[in-house]
Amino acid sequence: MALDLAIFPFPGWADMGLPEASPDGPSCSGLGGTAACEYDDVIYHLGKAPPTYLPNYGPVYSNLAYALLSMVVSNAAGESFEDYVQTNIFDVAGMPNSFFGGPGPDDIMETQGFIPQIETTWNVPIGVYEG
Amino acid sequence: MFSTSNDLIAFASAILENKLLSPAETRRWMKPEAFTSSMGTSMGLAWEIWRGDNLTTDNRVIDVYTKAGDLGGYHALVGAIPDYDLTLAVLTGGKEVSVNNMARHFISSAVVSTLLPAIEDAGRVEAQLYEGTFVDEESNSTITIALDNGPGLKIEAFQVRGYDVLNNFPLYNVNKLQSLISGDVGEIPPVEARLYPGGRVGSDPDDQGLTESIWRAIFDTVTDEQRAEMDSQLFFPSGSCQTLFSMDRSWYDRTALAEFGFLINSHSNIVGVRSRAFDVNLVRDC
Repeated sequence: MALDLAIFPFPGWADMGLPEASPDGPSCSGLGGTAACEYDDVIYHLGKAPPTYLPNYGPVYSNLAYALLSMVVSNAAGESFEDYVQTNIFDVAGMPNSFFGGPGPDDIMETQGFIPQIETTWNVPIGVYEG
Repeated sequence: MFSTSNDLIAFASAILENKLLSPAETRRWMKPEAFTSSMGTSMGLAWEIWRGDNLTTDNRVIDVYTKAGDLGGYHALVGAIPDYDLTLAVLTGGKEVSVNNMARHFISSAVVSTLLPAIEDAGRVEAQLYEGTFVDEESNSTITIALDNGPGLKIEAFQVRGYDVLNNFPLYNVNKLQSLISGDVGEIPPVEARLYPGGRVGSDPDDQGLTESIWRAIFDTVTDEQRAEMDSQLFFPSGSCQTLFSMDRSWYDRTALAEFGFLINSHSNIVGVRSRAFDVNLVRDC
């Protein structure tokens, strides 16, 4: 869903045969300068999308599914997904240099961050897609 | 999410060490949930499971549990090989590794295919600890364990109370009862017996400060020729292997005849072999 073309207001879509997008269509993503999606955005837009396959049909890879899973975990745990992961995974497994969104421990972003040239996604907030 | 290869190794290790889930839950999770249209790829929750039989000299199928992730020019992978207790993390970024998003797969695959044979060989050297002859003179019982090029360990000889159990193993079967009673058992096919790790720990007999590692034997009577003949009549690969279905066939007094315990001392020496079904404790014959 983060890659839904309708999120990106490119005038050229019409020239490529695509119809006008819904007035209340998807507008968040986190990528390409758009706002990050929050939980309500995902529920709203997912409710208006048809299913890809019937339940238990077969494996389909879905980034959106992971976003939903993080929402389920957060609801079940009664805390944010990030907090839950910090306490139950990062702390238990011993992962001191793992975090959601900078700045992270000490000045690790500056001293150990690997940013290739032309990379556009470094430290971009992707909201619910952190899951 | 930001992370490091060290942290991802810690994560995969925590999984294999049952730090995040109970041992039973971990075993349940490290399984496929669905196949895909590629024989070498299966899907778990949410593992991307790679399967190959070209990683070891005996062509065993090895399962590698992976999870890949991409964002922009970043391509990562964390992996675990439960059969070897190995973990793997590959973090890449940049246009060179973004041509087709497969660079991270190629690197991961190369790490596995290069290191696994070497690790397998090292494991075989360690497995030499299991080789030897173990005896119980009082009952005239003996077992000889050897390592060859095949999978697991080979039982070269197994005799209990003076009887050749190994070569007569097909007779330990209720289907053979009438023959045994009549005294005419006919010709017994040659038996090849191999031991495989049972994944369980037993108990310390007589409180000797030993640990017991449970292994299970497969007593196989199918020759390579027969196997090839059977496979030629099946459209699916390796269908001639039916030993999975024989795992619990031979029991005596609620104990599997195929279950053996290796007794290990605090210096990691294999000092004995125990069979509960035959009620014999065999000590290394030095």
